Amino acid sequence: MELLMDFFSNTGFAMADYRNFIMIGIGFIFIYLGIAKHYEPLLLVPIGFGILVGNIPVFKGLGLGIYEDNSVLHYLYLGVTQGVYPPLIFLGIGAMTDFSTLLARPVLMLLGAAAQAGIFITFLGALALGFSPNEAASIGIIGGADGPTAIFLTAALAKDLIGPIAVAAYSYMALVPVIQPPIMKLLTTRKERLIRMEEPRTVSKTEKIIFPIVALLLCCFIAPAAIPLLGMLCFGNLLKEAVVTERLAVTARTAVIDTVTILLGLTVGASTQADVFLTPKSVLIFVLGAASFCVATACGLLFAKFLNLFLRPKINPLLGAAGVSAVPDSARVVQIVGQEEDPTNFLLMHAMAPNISGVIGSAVAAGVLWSFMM
Amino acid sequence: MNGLEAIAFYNGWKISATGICIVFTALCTLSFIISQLHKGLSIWEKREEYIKKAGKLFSRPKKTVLHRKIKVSESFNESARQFHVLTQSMKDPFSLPKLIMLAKKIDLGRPHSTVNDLLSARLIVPDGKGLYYWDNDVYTTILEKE
Repeated sequence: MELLMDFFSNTGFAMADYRNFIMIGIGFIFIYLGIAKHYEPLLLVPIGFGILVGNIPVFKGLGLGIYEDNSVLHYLYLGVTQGVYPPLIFLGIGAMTDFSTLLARPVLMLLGAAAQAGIFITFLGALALGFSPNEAASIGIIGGADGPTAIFLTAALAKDLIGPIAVAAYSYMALVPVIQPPIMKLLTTRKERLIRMEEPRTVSKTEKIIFPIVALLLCCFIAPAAIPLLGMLCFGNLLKEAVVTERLAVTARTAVIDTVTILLGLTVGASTQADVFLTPKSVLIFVLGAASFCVATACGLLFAKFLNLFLRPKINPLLGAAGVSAVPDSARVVQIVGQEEDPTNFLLMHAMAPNISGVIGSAVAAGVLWSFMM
Repeated sequence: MNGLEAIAFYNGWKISATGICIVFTALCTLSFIISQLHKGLSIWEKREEYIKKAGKLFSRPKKTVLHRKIKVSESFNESARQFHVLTQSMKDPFSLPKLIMLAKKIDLGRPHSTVNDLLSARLIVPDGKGLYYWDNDVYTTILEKE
């Protein structure tokens, strides 16, 4: 009986407290949203499962927990804390992204720039709420709606906040279809939502090959700290467009990105151990993250309306909402909201332009914040 | 430290304003470059055509200096003088049919044959674009020999 009691005292049931169960509940919600609601399943399922893994109570010192130096999870987590995984994800994103729509209508790139204002506004909000500048910068980047970028910057500036910031960033990315439509409808009129976009011109192969090189050189000369992210994004895209490196491009957009997504999702999820994650700071981070996301969406929309004062023909201001990265979800939301007003209006292709420029913009913003905080 | 005081203490306003400006500058410049990229590429692809056009614009037709002896008769010199006057009434370069028409109009004898002689003597020289000009150097040489 004593042996049995000893064994019981070593089980997770005996060691768990209510916070572990709250986190396991959150893990279930992530898995449910991913599988049943199809909200970013490739991210939410690994993260959700990681939350379950990370919240099973274990003995400290046995090398089991993610925060113990000699554990397997800790080694895998080094890819997050050392900023290895995010650039590899950008490599894959670059290898699967077609920049044609952006090259055809470069003015839409400005919408991606405008949406990044949300990052800096949230940075101010976080400072006002008492966060340190490094923490505030890491929280602000959630508004970029780009999980890898948020993790990359947080790993560089505020390692302790990686868990809450990564979970907040990916949660809001998954919740784009819920968060963005009300803001989009609030800030645009029906007449504006009905605007049709002109057919984009055909883009030559040479333009597509030159673009990643020009983008890398220009953006990284302006913000050198963006090299790890933009360098890999542009490299991946060059592999894709060069055609002669198709094998490498295929590997980058399948095997590499899938492997890294699994490792990143699982370890980020596992890093949300209840004792580390369930703190008042985390709650504030979630609130600020949501605000950041909303402000970024609003900035994109309002800037699109501002551009319409000068542009002929006008652009559909809904495209501004796609300026937050969240590729391709926010572009899809633009398409859905646009089609609610006019089912024959196809905005998806056009929304991809600000969407992709949002990725570039958030990487530049991360580089800028990093260089300011160094 | 909280609120506006914290923002001011950590240079929040400056960081935000500068950050937004840098991101905008980067993307605006990139946007401008890619908006001009296809124009630059189309010029590059048609570079030979443009080089030819530019070459024609800046180079005057080569005037051939005659080193050979031009055998001319008295009547030819007279015809040359008459046609010289005619070409002076037209702007360089001129059209050959127009010149012949003018010659016919004022009853110059055998205009076709004379023009042919003037062409052979290189007094009338093609400019390479279907028109002709009068070569004053050759004309002066002929007059000096007279």
